[in-house]
Amino acid sequence: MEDWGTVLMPGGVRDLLPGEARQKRELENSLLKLFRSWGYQEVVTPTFEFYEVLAPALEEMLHEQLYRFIDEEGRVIVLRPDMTTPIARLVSTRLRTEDFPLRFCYVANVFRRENHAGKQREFYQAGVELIGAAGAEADAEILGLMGEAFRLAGIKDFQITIGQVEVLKGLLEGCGFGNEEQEKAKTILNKKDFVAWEKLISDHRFSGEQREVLENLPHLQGGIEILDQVEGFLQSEDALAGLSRLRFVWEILTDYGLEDHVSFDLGFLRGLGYYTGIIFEGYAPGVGYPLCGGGRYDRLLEKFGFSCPATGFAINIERFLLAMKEEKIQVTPAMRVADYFIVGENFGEVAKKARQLREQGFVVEIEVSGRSPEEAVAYAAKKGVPHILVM
Amino acid sequence: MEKDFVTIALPKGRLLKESLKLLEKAGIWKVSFDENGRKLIYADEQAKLRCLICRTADVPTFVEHGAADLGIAGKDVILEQGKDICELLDLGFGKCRFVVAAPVSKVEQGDFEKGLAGYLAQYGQLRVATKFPRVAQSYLRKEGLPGEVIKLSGNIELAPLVGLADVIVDLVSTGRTLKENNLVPVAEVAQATARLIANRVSYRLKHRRLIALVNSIQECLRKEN
Repeated sequence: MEDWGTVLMPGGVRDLLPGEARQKRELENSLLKLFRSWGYQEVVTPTFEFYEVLAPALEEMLHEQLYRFIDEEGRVIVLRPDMTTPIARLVSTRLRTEDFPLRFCYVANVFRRENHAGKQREFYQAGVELIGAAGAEADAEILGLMGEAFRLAGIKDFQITIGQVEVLKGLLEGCGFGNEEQEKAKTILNKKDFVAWEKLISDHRFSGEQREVLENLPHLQGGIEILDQVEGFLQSEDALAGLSRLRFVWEILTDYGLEDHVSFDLGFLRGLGYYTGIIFEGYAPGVGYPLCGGGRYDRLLEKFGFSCPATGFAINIERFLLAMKEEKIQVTPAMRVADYFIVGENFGEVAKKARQLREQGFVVEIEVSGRSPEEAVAYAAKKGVPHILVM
Repeated sequence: MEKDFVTIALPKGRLLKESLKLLEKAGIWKVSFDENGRKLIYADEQAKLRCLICRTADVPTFVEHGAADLGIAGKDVILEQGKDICELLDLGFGKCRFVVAAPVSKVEQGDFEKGLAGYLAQYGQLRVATKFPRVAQSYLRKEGLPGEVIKLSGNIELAPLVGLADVIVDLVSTGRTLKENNLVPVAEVAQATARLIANRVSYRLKHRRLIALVNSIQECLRKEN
């Protein structure tokens, strides 16, 4: 194997060198601290689980992206493609007698078979799940917490786009779409293929008002005012309830000072059947992909035999770091070199001195590679260690 | 992706001329294009516009990553790549079709009288040579045909002539290449024209500017028809 560079790793995975690894860890730690301060407790689930257990509950898009293998007893195993499903399994199978709501958070690596060059197949997520609370207050908490995460990271110009699947359903019903046509319409909206959308509109007969609603749907983005535009058009109770939830959430987000960062998009979808209420994604300038996203998924836990409402979000750690870099945020002080470097004849003495200094909070490196004191001092000086002790 | 610039990825090759013409007619930008093709980035500092000249097949990649906010790409390329982008407008030009084509001799002896399914029933296998494996595969799946796709890089027409494949799936604009190689279309897979596409995040963060550009292009297209 001459050319290690190309044979060493499969596509879509990467090493994190000291600086990057440290930035990632510090961001993760501060996010966990933030989540804890809102009452979310960290959980850890296995990296791999049975396919037959997780598969029925997975978001539809993830099915084609699973890493599967077979264990020694012939059972199919998957690497976790997200953390929401394992946490839903955990709650449904082990914690259903607890007092709800439950608040959980995590930092974990997840695995997806991405086919596109440049996308990671192993990547890192930090997220929260709020389980057992059906109200708009819970939606507002999740969104407020996501806004705080952006602030904590120092990303200033972030934007959160919010949609609502019941409102969208109501709009489509109002235009006379049956179940099958709704699926078709949603598939097109989910793909953001507005050319196909135009064609769908021109292939059907609609009243003037219906046509106007449909033509505007992909472009209905904006503040609270766009909710007024569709209110008169909605008929079903679910859709109207969805709309008043959006209003409530907007109020609370205003209280959190997030009104300049939040917009609504009523034609917005994340997948087709998984989410049941509010959905959202977060963006920042300079990064071409969403940085985070989530929504309400009230029908997930019942796939594990435990009917229970839930909502949450996940942050893509690498994309968050990218956005921070775009904002020229010094994520951590430059790589901290050691405060002290110690070399000496008697290694026991050196170790003892190092221990004393470390207890005082200093970063201490000692000579362990058998160099002469002169060589070791030259090394430490080159590295820029301010204090060099020769014992 | 600079924050206050809108970057447009334009495809080199047959779509470039029409694309530049459209931008000019829509009153967006008259790019003084270097015919030698050496220059790859053009910028209009005042209008805060920039365009990148890239290979046609790369436009969706630039746009998906956000290296460009907007792009012009053939629907053929978009279909084949399946990238996560917004498709904003059908620009109308660059019209071509994806077809399934077979050797004239086979068609004349009636092998395709009952379509591709009939061919499969008769011969037991259907090998499809193509530069567009994804398009070919999804067509076969949609039609319920258990065919086998063979990916080639060019000169697809050769494959059925030398027995490497039974039929081809390829892009046709005039149909001349097919005729010269004694092939005829036996089924249409899809129609394709140039599309205006956008990065998903730009579509949100630069929504107002992008919509203004989309509107002036749309206006210009409407006038022409």
